[in-house]
Amino acid sequence: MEIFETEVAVIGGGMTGVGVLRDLALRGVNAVLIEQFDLGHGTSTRNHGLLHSGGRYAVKDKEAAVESYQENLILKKTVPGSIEETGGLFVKVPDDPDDYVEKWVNACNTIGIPIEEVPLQIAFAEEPYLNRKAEVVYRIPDGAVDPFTMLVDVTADAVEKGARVLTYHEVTHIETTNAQVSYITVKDRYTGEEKQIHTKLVVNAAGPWSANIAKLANVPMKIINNKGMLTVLNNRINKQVINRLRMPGDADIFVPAHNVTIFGTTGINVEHPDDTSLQREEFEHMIMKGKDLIPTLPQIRMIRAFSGSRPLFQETESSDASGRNVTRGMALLDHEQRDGLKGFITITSGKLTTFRYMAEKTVDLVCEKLGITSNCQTAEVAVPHREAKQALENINLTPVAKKKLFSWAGVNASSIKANLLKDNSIVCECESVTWAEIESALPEKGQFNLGDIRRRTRLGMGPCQGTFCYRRAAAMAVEKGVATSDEAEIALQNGVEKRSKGMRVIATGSANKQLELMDGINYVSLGMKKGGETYV
Amino acid sequence: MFDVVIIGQGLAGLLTAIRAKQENKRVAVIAEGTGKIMQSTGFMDLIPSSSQNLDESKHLFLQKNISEELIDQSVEWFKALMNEINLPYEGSVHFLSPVVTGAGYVKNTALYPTTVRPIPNKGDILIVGLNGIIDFQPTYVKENLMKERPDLNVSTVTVDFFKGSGRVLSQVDAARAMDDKQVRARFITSLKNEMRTKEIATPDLMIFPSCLGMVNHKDVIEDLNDSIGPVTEAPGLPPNAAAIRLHDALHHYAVKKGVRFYEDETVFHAKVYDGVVTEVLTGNQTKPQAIKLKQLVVASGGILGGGLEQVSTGLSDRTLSLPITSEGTLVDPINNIFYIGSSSKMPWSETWISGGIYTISSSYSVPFTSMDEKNKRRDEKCYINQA
Ligand SMILES: Cc1cc2nc3c(=O)[nH]c(=O)nc-3n(C[C@H](O)[C@H](O)[C@H](O)COP(=O)(O)OP(=O)(O)OC[C@H]3O[C@@H](n4cnc5c(N)ncnc54)[C@H](O)[C@@H]3O)c2cc1C
Ligand SMILES: Cc1cc2nc3c(=O)[nH]c(=O)nc-3n(C[C@H](O)[C@H](O)[C@H](O)COP(=O)(O)OP(=O)(O)OC[C@H]3O[C@@H](n4cnc5c(N)ncnc54)[C@H](O)[C@@H]3O)c2cc1C
Repeated sequence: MEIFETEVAVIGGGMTGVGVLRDLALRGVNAVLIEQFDLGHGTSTRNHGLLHSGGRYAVKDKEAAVESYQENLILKKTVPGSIEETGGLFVKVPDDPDDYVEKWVNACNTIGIPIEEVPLQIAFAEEPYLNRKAEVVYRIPDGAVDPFTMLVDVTADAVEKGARVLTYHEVTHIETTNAQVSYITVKDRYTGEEKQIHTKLVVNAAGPWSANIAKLANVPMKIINNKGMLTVLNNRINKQVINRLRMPGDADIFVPAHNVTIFGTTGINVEHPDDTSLQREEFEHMIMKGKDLIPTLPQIRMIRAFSGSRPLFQETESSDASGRNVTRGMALLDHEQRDGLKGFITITSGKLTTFRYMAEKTVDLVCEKLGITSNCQTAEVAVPHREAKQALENINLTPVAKKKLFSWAGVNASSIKANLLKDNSIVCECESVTWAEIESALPEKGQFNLGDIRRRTRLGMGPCQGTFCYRRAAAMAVEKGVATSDEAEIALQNGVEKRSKGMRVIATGSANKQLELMDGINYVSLGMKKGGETYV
Repeated sequence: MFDVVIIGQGLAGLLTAIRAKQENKRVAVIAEGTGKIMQSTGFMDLIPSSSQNLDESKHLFLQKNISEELIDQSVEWFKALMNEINLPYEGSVHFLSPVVTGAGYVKNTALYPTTVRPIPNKGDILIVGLNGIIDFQPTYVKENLMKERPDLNVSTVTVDFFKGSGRVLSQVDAARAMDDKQVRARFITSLKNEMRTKEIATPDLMIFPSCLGMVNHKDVIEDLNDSIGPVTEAPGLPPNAAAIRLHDALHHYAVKKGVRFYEDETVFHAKVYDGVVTEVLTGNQTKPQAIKLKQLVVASGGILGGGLEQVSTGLSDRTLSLPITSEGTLVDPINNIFYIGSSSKMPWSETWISGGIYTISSSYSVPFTSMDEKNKRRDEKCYINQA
């Protein structure tokens, strides 16, 4: 069995885990992150992508609002390549309680979130889809964050600074000796091979799975998994984020994301963290509610739906509630203090928007435990930008694909450029993804996986949902010797099934038709066999 | 006034229009788009995405009132028609033929155009890719093919045909280029050079993407055959030249025979008097155009063709605006309305894809009677019912 050592092992490749990893790397602490599937397998790629300004929490949860606003300002500076400063609107529609408006305005003013009332005519001119019956509109500094690029970029920067990452490795065992964690066992999901990681300290950042990890360490912990559904509209219908000006509820936010809009969400408690099921009734309920802000919503074409679970930490009565519950917005548990287990820390709850702050507090505690004095740098040191116009000015590519790469290639610009010289084919027309980008996104080791490529390049995220580009990418991978035909087949079966799932629940109109076409091409035209082997 | 009005110009609509013309009817086709035939492969499958033969599936056809005899007759009629329009089809519904697709999988089909040859179990195969055609990757095709046909001896080459164009080309772009004699000659020279460099002997069969000429496909195949050896097309991701050829040939023939086409027109309503449809409305709601008819054939392709739409309350008929079942057919059948092709749901599949053979046989099943006869028969039926 392979055995290696590290000062800190971080479990979970979501935004929280990779945030912790980068913070550790910047402070010079030796660390390895373990993720059971690909980075972003969990909630971190299954959310709304709203860079909160605090407005949503201003009335209900002041502390969370303060944290959100502060982090909003910091992330705009430090992860600029993944954030679009769209701005946002809070809109009151008829029947929303009048007294909430005053409460909200006061709360924002007290906290210091800059708001500004927008004359209705201006709001309607800016956002033509907005309900004309809207009564009050405020402007607020919300933003849109691309969780896929943020995750990948923060990780890449951590790796660049010396951190290690093991994806497709599941933590299966945590060994404790004398009330101190001594090592963890991880299992390679593809080969089944086991490895031991000896470490002084384990950070449990497994989001909705963090109770499972706690259980491996024999520590009692309760996480409520609150599943929310989101749908992707075919077009970007709004320039800025549109929120509803009332107590936060279901289906009241529209967030622009590149060329589309993401709309949601809901909240239903589910038993298992792996539960990302999609219910038609839930979808219909969302559309009904969403009409209050965007009356034409039922007529707008949708691409797909997806869901993710918010990990909500619940302190159990039996354990010491003092823990280190920094704020209500996040749960940082020092298990030495809470449960008498040394070398084990959990960081969970929170938000995408506050990942950096969560990481800072966690690593402060880690350093304290390890006796390291080193200050957090993530509030100032930026992740490299994605902008790459200069580096790619002279490439031979269609204008659309070129334009995309200018604001996309980032630190990969030189490798993409070199790959383009060999082959400048465009594989995905919806999202203008070139083979060169796919090649740069392929992992050095490990299996060919279309989902992994999608999360890094947007392959298959457009209206056709991979009908054409998944097949092309798989075929080209075999052609170029980067995948075997068995790997390509498994990747396709898996990829097609995952895409279909999100389309099936929309079940109507163009999404339904697109799904029929996808099945027609795969199973009729090409003669693909149904239900072939897929991943576990 | 038309004897027969057909909604849709997919395979079903075009075949029915041609048949009605053969019966000397006044025929109009109203269609808002070209039909799924353009995205199809040119193959006529028996049961799409299945290898079931006719014995195993004829009970399913019977559920749609299509008997084995009718299938045989319609296939014979189809083959004769395709001969006449110079796009001959081979194969049989009783013995399905294995063909290779653009992904290298082998599927069983009933009828195939003569640009295609069934895939053998043994022999030397050469898969020919064309640089720039992203939808056909020869090594990928080879690896998948070898899984199903391990006894084949397969090699691959890629011909740098569109060198330096910097464009991604479709199989149809390549097919158009191949129509040109000089381009073709250049291509053959490059292919031979590639084969020489890679020391590939003359194979028993060459597999190409579906790009062997658009109108001059016979010449393309002949030239390749004469200078190297036998070839087959492997249609895959759309667009495939094999499908476009089929559409173009049928459409051209229908026009030549005097079918009246109302293209880019959407039917949104049917007027029914006394249990009989008398006209359909096209254009827009405020200023509709009425087209009078004696018989109406719905070949609107269901969900994929656009005749039906899935809405949150179920299926919606956006063509005739009449109450329909979950199968897409009328709740109260009307004697002079006929549903063919993919316009209604098939008993054999989750999807709405009916497949070529059902499309051919259902098109062939439409009885062209004069209105009077029709009424007479209905009267007789009533009489019998009363008796
Ligand atoms: C519907 C919805 C909408 C949201 N919208 C927003 C928003 O607009 N703005 C915002 O700021 N926040 C939003 N959030 C919240 C935000 O997405 C989450 O708080 C955040 O992504 C949690 O990240 P995480 O890293 O803690 O968890 P995750 O991203 O779930 O990461 C945990 C990781 O641990 C891995 N793991 C689990 N078990 C193991 C094991 N045994 N071994 C190795 N790895 C393991 C998992 O595979 C997973 O990748 C939303 C949440 C939901 C559900
Ligand atoms: C991707 C794909 C691949 C296929 N591959 C194969 C294969 O390999 N083998 C095989 O046997 N079969 C295949 N098929 C299936 C085969 O093509 C269909 O069974 C057949 O094309 C059905 O044809 P159709 O004429 O009934 O409908 P369509 O071709 O869909 O035609 C419908 C027509 O109706 C028109 N229309 C719809 N609504 C209206 C309206 N309201 N007013 C006016 N016009 C209207 C449309 O514009 C169109 O012209 C494939 C299908 C698809 C989609």
